[in-house]
Amino acid sequence: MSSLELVEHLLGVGRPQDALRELERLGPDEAGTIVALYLRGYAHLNTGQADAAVHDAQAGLQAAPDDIALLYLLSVAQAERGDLAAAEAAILSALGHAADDADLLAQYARILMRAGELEKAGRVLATARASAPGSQDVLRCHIDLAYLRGDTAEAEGLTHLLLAEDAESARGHQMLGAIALERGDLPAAEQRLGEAVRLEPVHDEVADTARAARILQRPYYWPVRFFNRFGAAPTWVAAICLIVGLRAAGLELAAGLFGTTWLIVCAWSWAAGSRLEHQLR
Amino acid sequence: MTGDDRLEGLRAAVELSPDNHALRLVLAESLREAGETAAALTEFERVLDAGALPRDEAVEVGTAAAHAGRLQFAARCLDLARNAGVVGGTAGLEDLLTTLLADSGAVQRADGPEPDTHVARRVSVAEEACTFADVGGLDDVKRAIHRTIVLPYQRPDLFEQYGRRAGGGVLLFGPPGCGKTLLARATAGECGAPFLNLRIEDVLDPYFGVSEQRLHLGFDEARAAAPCVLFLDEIDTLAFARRHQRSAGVGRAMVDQLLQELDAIGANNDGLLVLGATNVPWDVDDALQRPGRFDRVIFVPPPDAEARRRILDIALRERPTAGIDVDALAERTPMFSGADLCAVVERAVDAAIDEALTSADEVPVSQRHVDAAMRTARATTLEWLRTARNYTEFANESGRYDEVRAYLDQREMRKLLRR
Ligand SMILES: Nc1ncnc2c1ncn2[C@@H]1O[C@H](COP(=O)(O)OP(=O)(O)OP(=O)(O)O)[C@@H](O)[C@H]1O
Ligand SMILES: [Mg+2]
Repeated sequence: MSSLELVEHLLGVGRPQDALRELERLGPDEAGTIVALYLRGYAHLNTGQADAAVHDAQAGLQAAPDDIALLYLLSVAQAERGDLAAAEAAILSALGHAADDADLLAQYARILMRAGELEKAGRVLATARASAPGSQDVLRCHIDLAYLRGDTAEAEGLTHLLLAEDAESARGHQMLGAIALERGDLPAAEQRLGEAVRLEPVHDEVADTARAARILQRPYYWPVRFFNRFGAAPTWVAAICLIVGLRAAGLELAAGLFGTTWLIVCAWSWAAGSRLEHQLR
Repeated sequence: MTGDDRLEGLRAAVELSPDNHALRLVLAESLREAGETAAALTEFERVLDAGALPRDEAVEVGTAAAHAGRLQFAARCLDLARNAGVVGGTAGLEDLLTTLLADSGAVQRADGPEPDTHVARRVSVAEEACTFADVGGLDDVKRAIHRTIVLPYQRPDLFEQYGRRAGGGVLLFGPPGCGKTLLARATAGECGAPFLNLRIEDVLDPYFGVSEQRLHLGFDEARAAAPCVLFLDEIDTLAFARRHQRSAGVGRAMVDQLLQELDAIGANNDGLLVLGATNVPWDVDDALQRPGRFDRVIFVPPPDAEARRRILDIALRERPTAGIDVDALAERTPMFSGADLCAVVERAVDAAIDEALTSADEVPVSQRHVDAAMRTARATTLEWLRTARNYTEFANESGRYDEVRAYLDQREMRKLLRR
């Protein structure tokens, strides 16, 4: 078996470090081939070495300037480095060779979304969907776009579609968890985020959010839940209006009692918040 | 520095650090340049033995070896060059070898190296001189392995008497570099049973269906050798969780085949024990961990202070040292993996070598070298342990990971894992 197949397999099973090690053992002839450079680029990308990945892609493109896969890799790596302009240039030249390719279009949409050009991203995604209606990658982009636009209902609906096709999509569960959290539905958030962690435990932030969703359900945290549910500013405004209203109505005692209670709730909420932080650390 | 001094320095350095193959290679090349061909070839051969001979040197070294009459060695260089896909010079070397072999009256080499028809590599017990004594700490793990693997071979009568069957699967998991592979090798040395190693690179084949066939062959070979231990290291590369697989490619079929093989073992009770190891249990297909497949799942934790001391002792033995406070170093390195500790020692040794190169006296590895090495060292297991905590907290319905949970819930662990 050729070592390149082993490298490809290692990348496929999430062992980019081992893939790199294997690539290092290639003879100079094989190491310079386009396939080897392409695989090395992905191995670098997946080990957090985007600069090196850019380098690999460019080296490959010198020999094969029109290679779509290499241009795609270059675009992803440039975006990873934060150079959105270079990422866009790369994906556009790839699209110059294959204008309807859904994967290329999805990558272009991701770049546009990161640049905040949501409307343009929407148009690109519509083209992508027309050329590949069943593409999960395009669907995932659509979900992200809906969520970025603040269209939670659409994001939720599309995510259910995604999960119907792939019940073990960690991203799908994470999205539903985030939406449930916004809605203040802590048990649903815990369940969804927990599932996302089970599927991909390496993401500490997701795990922390799942933990928070679990802890916040304890009775002690009700003031935090209360503020989260209705938002801090509106509750404050409502409380002050109520106090002022009670006083205007001449109900001094009631206003005083309510004011004191309100202060206690605020103090409690503050204490609970810092305790939560402590528990998560 | 004259050439002779340089050679002397290099020789001393290699002696001080016999496993530094890069250094040995420099020595070999310098010897060759100095015209000491015989000595150079000896060093080159040791580099080749260690698998560290660069492929682009294989032809040149092979040719020199052939001219020196060391045909066996030359043939190995030729094999290395061929396997690495080196084109330039291999034909010439082969012709030379054929001529020399014919002259010497030996049989002519068949076309290319003898193909290795075995899938599973049999690891001979002699080759694995390593035993539990070479593994620092991990007493609980050793006990568990002794019970489930070693004892069934040494006292089959006992197991029969109690109606417990020998065979089945044991899965070792834990952070990288903490001795899973080492433990498996030591297990081979301990139990004296045949020990076969089946690796992804021995199985994987691009042709449709061939990988599964080869996997089956590997298990067949193990069955024929039973009672024996079949070791599947980094089993996640063979049985990657299906959920991560984009398409129904090689991977999926391979998982199915592996499940079939394991079920067959469970049904036949033929004394074949499968020992698996992985550092990403969450990426291993869940189906593999169902009853009857890998029933025993053993956590191999990072070494505790006592174990770290043993590991450091092992790493430092046969090295010239002076005044290293091993106990203090063991205390200073919580959560360091065995590999992390070995890396610290290697770096300290390298520093001593650097000094030895510029000084006339012998420079033993000492505390200051260790301190310098410690400055950049860090524990690599923490990231793994955090992921493990995430996983066990949200995916432990079966209670399979209770052992890890208990470990991670210890007070000092929680402190260490804080970010
Ligand atoms: N308990 C130990 N005793 C002695 N040496 C150890 C121990 N643990 C690790 N080492 C050293 O660290 C090296 C790496 O260990 P090993 O390959 O067994 O780790 P592993 O658990 O198999 O890691 P991985 O998950 O990355 O495969 C060993 O070659 C050995 O030198
Ligand atoms: Mg290992």
